[in-house]
Parts: sequence; structure tokens; C-alpha cells
Amino acid sequence: MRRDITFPMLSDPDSTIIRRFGLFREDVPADSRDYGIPYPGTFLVDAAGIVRQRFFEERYWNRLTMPAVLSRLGMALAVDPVSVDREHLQIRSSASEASVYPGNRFTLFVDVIPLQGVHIYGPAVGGGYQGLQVTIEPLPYLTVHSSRYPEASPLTLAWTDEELTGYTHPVRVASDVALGTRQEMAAVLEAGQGVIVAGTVKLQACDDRVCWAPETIPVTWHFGLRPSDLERAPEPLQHKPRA
Amino acid sequence: MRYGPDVGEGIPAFEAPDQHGRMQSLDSIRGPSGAFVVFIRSADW
Repeated sequence: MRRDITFPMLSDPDSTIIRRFGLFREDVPADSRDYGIPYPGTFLVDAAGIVRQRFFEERYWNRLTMPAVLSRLGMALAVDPVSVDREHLQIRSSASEASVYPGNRFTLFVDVIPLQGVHIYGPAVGGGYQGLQVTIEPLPYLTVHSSRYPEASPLTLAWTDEELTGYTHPVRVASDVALGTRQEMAAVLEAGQGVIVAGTVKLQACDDRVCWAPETIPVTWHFGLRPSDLERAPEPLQHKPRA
Repeated sequence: MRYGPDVGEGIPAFEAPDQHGRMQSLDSIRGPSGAFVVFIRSADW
């Protein structure tokens, strides 16, 4: 009630449903307050109850946020876009959310928007060209996952017979990052400055006549960092250890 | 690491009370296209 939750939030006090789903965590001692918890994650099921997608993290303290889930399904929620204008293209950085909690796995977006007649090269272009490459700078409390690139298309270029691949339309690169636990984030929470993630975009753009030099463009994302909600439910509702 | 039903498999039937004490199942919570079924560790802390 405290959170004004509007979706149905079901209670499984004996972990019956958790066991039936095969999500029961056997590694929690029976006398622990946490006994009975599941591996956390999300199933997207159709109307017949068939799993269409599932989102479970390798580290079970990480949670893929719901906006990040929706963005994977093509329901793009790109907040706080920041644009960098170049002579021949625009770079726009945004993210799946504006503020994050410890443990969140969320998504950084880089949109590269070539101007009319301009192309950029795909990640695996070869041939001495700089393919599109987004790199996220490491931080001690940040897990950086591999970036996802749309498939590049073969390019037809008047000035070469080389088989090159690239993009002639706006392209979105999605890079997931995951924050550490609230203990690992303690100093960052204390500092109160939020989370700043830095990255670079490497690319090379050409049009029918010119190839510009390979470029490295810095991008930065700023997030508010929220403390974990540690307030327990009223005592009568609290889960009791068995022992 | 694989826990729970895979893509293409059906989820087990379930019935449980929601935060208002109403019994709910997949059919009662889903929309026309289906539902997100999210497992969290616990809501009591």
C-alpha cells in the first residue's frame, strides 16, 4: 500500500508457486529470514501461458528494469536524450531510465543518425575502415555487458568494389550495464552525486564523394541514484524464519 | 544458468491472493496479449 502498487502483486508465503516454477533457491539456509525466496526474474507469457521471452540475470542480485525490458521489446523508452551534432551526422545518447537503484541492470542507447547520403560502417566492416563501436568505460561497481548492434547491410558504393557493410539510416546501439549491490554502492550513495557513466563512439562516415577520418566521440550519461527501500512491511505481514 | 520454464514452454498454473486479498490466476491478471510474470524475493522488507 505504501508504494501505491497498481499491478496485481501475488503472495506465495509457502513458496508453492516458486517451487512449481522451478525457481526456488535451495542455497538459502532454512533458518534464514530469506528462506523461500526465488531466483528473481521476469517471464513474458502470451494469453495461453506460453513463455515468449524470459529475463533472468546471471547474478541474481541484478534486476533488468521494466523500462529496459520494454525497450528490448521495441517499446522504446529513451529518456534524457543528449545530442552531439557533427558535419555529417548526429549522435544522440539516452537511456532506459533517468534514475536507478543498486542492483539495477538498465540500458544505455547511442543513436547515430547519418545525414542524407551519408553512411557509416558496420562493426565488422574490415578493410581498414573504422566500424561503429560503442565502448562503455568500466567503473568498480559497474558490470558492462556486450553492446547490441542492428545488423549492418551491404553497401553499394560507386568508388569501390569492396564488399563493405554499414548503415545508411539511423542506427541504435543498446548497451546494458548493471550496478553493484547496495553495499558495493555505499560510497556512491553517500556522495549523493548520482551515477555518471562515460563511453566513446568510434565510427567512420562517408558519402558518395568523401570519406571523413575515423572519429572517436565521447558520450556521457547521468543518472540519479536512489537508495534501496529497506523499510519492512508491518510486523504481522513479515515472513518468519522457520527455525 | 537456467531456472524455470524456457521460451516456448508453458508456465505452471497458479492461484494466489493479491495485495487486496482477491484470488488471482494467469487468466485473471493477463491482458489480451498475455502478461509479465515477475518474481521478486519478497515484499515484506
